[in-house]
Amino acid sequence: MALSLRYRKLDFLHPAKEPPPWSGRVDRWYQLDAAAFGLCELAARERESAAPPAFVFLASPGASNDTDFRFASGGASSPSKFVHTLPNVRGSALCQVLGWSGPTLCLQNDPRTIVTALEEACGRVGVACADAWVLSVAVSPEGGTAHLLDVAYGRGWERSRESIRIARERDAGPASDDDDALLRWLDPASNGRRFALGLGLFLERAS
Amino acid sequence: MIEIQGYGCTSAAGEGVQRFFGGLEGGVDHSRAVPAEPRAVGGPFLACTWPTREAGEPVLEKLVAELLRAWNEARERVSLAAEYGVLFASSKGCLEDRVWTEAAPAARDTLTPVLEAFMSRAGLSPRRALAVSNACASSHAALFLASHWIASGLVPQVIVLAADYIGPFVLSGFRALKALSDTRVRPFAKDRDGLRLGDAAACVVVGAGDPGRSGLLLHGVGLDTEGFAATRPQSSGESLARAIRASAGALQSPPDLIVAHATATPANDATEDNVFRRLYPDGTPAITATKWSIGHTLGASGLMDVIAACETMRRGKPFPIATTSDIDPAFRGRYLRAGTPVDGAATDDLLVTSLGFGGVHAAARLTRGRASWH
Repeated sequence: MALSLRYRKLDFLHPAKEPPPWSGRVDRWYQLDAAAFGLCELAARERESAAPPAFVFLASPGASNDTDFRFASGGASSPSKFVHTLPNVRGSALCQVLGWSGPTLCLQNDPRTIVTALEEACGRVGVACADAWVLSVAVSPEGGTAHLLDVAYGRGWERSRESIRIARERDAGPASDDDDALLRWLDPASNGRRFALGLGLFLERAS
Repeated sequence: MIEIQGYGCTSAAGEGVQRFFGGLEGGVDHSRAVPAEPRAVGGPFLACTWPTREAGEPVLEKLVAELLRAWNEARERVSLAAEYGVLFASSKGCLEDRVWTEAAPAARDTLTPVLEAFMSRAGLSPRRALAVSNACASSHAALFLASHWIASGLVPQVIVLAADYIGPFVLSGFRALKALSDTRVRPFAKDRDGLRLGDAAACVVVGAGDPGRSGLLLHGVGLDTEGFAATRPQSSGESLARAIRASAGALQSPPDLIVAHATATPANDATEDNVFRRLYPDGTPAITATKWSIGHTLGASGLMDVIAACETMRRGKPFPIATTSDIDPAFRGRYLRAGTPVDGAATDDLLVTSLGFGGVHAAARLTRGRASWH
């Protein structure tokens, strides 16, 4: 089975100094934690160029640890912080920015959370849906980085001159099967280039 | 066809499905007074905690111990396949062990360590294992994924686990949201005033079904997320309605009984009533719930409700919402409340609904197969 993988990476700053362009779409956007804010930034850019997906996997290493820590260390009394202490809650803001509703699954399997979600996306696409997004976000003191891995069945890669068929050779994939290795391997292809991917082969551990 | 092959649980009712379901049938509210948590906002509180809880015990160890109890009960009816998967559903996992003492946010999530420790202790080597964290709809999300794994041929059997522990973090948060009842949990009542939190661990084993053998079938699971607000559902309930329709698949007839999410918060119950009356305009099926008895067990609540549904189908008799007497006059659902006769009610086709923070909505449809459990 041939699948295509499109990878987009976005660095963002948080908190915002002024309302973002998508602020009117999101309920109390100013209360979003950094992770939700970053996903909204990414989704707003995608909304301009890509059709919404059939299925979304939320897959962030560390889950909501950053917001959990802030809630607890801040006296555990802020309702606006508490509501973001679940890693799936950022899906609500994402839906608002995209103007989309549909099935979302929030998966955790650290240190293979993104890899696992990508495996699940590959297992669904072409079987149960036409395409799926894997969305991940990592936060830092200044903001963070949001990642989109868009898996689609037979979409575009056959036609695109930029597409690169990942062969079965053992060194075709990332050096190990954890999230850091996957993101390092994907990084040169960020923001627009397309990869074709043979189901399951892409994620094999290379020796 | 996906068969429910076995299940087990522990909750405030104690160890085992019999204690859990016996409390539902007997109208027992398992709330107990819990001493003030030094780290939690506010004083002593009422919660539906495990009777075996001990002060200061590590949450990870407690969750694994309770999951093992649930798994051991479930496996009495289950032949483990050569290849199988394991899914763990939870909202917070073992967060309470570290969030109060760490100097900076940890790098690793708080669900995976629980799953890994459980599998090690249980001696399981699944083909695939991962954790699902869709807030209070985590159990349904795990059942959704399990169904896909089986239907796509990845594995013929999946052990679905769910557990959550009520500690100062969760307690403080729900207090901050003013979602906790100071009285009794009264779902769908005109004077309902909120929920009570509860501990639970549950296990449901699902597998590729044999039509001649199956007693209980997982007909379908629907999952939907709406973009409305972080904590409250849209009152129209469109997202929940989509999930319910998806769980029904080709089934045209309404279920015999609904086990509703029924937190007893004003917004949740109003949304569910709105959806039920719109989906079933000729009169809703009978509606019941479990949280009045064992509390809101968060990520485990969906699996506890599925177990309650399975037991209802197996025994052929539903249970009422024993703490609710006067239904909200604005509601139109046919609620089984204290004193409602339940003998003779049909129990061959049940719907279990779930709602969670982050706009997640889910529904599971269960039907009876040709044979019965013994």
